[in-house]
Amino acid sequence: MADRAHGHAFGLDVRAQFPLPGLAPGGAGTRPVDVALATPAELESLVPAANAERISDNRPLSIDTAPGQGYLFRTEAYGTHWISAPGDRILCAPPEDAEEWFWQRMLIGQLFPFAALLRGLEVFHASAVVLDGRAIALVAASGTGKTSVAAELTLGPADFLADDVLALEASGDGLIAHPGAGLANVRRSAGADLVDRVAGAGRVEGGDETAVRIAIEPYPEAVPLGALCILRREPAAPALRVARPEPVDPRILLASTFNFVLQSPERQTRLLDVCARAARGVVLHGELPPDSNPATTAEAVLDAVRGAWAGTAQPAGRRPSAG
Amino acid sequence: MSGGDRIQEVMAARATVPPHVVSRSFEEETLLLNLESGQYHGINATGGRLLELVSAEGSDGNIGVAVAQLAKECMMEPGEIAGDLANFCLQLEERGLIEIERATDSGADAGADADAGEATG
Repeated sequence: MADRAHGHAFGLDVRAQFPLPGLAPGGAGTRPVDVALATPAELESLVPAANAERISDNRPLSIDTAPGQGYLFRTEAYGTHWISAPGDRILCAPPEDAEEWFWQRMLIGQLFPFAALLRGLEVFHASAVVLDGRAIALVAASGTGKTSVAAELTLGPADFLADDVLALEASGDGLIAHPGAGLANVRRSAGADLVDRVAGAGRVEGGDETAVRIAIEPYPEAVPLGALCILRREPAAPALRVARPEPVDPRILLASTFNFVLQSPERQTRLLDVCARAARGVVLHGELPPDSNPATTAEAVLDAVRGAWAGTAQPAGRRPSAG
Repeated sequence: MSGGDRIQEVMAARATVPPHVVSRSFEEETLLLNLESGQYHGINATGGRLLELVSAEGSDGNIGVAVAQLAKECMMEPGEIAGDLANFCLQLEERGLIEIERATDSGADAGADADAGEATG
């Protein structure tokens, strides 16, 4: 069956048998992943219950696996999905009445990052933009505002790189950051003005009462990670402050991962290595008081990053290494 | 065994970091990851440097030699730090993060070999 979509995201070369908006064009020679539709019964047969171990039960999502048989993701709202053990195939059985933009949130937001992890990348819970050829990663818990801050930066001098999940890969002494899907879920609580401005810069794909899903063209290639900014809401903080922590706490970096489920020795070693590399670069902590907003936070992040980069050479253009 | 004897025993021993332990250095500490337990352990810069010294290429892992080098780097006498570092090594051993081959272990093995030789001879 011919591909209906071909592009790359999260360091994966994705070929899908159904339309899949948000992929950066071309495969870029990275890790191939084939994506197709299937029925729930077909997927359930791939990881039989008799052999299966539940490795995650974080309702509404559960994940079962059996040695060599891949990973079975079950949700009520987004359907049933399966990823092969090596992470090179994804099969999706969405609910019959679900709109594509809705159930594909599962594919973009959970399955691709999981596959990236299986393919040797690390994934951080971060949104990211590109400035002067370097990635600025915004790490934060859900609801802190990383998408909104990234959106403000994208509407300003930066280019959009990823929303909510950032795929990182060791390269030389540092890290490179891969584009995610060109899709951002902008919360309505960030303000109608921001939602309207982001929608104007992209294309609205869907939405509900909580958020609007907007297609934004991502930066087309992987870039060196230039700064990692860890944002945290601090009710008692007297003012917005973005600065380098003294010292960088490795535990906070370890906790920045998007995935706490896969615990193979190879993955754990890789996570530790990625954190050590990140710590050797620019790491900033942002304390966000209750009255902070995405625009002022973005400005503070920009100032802090530019200050940290002052005097450092801009990286030459780089292409991601072949998977 | 007295405290002094324990320190001497450790100083005469060799330490190795087993394959199931990986480490990475950060600004002010080293994180050790025990892949068998999945647990992370943080050790300070001094402890991290000691592990570097016993694991260095060309080193035979002798703890006393590493302590002497570390004392030199800190401009202290080995005796001033040997006690703390011996306890540190024992704690790491307890957590499965290093393996300590004591001189008495080698002696016991040699004795057993000799006995085996006698039995089969």
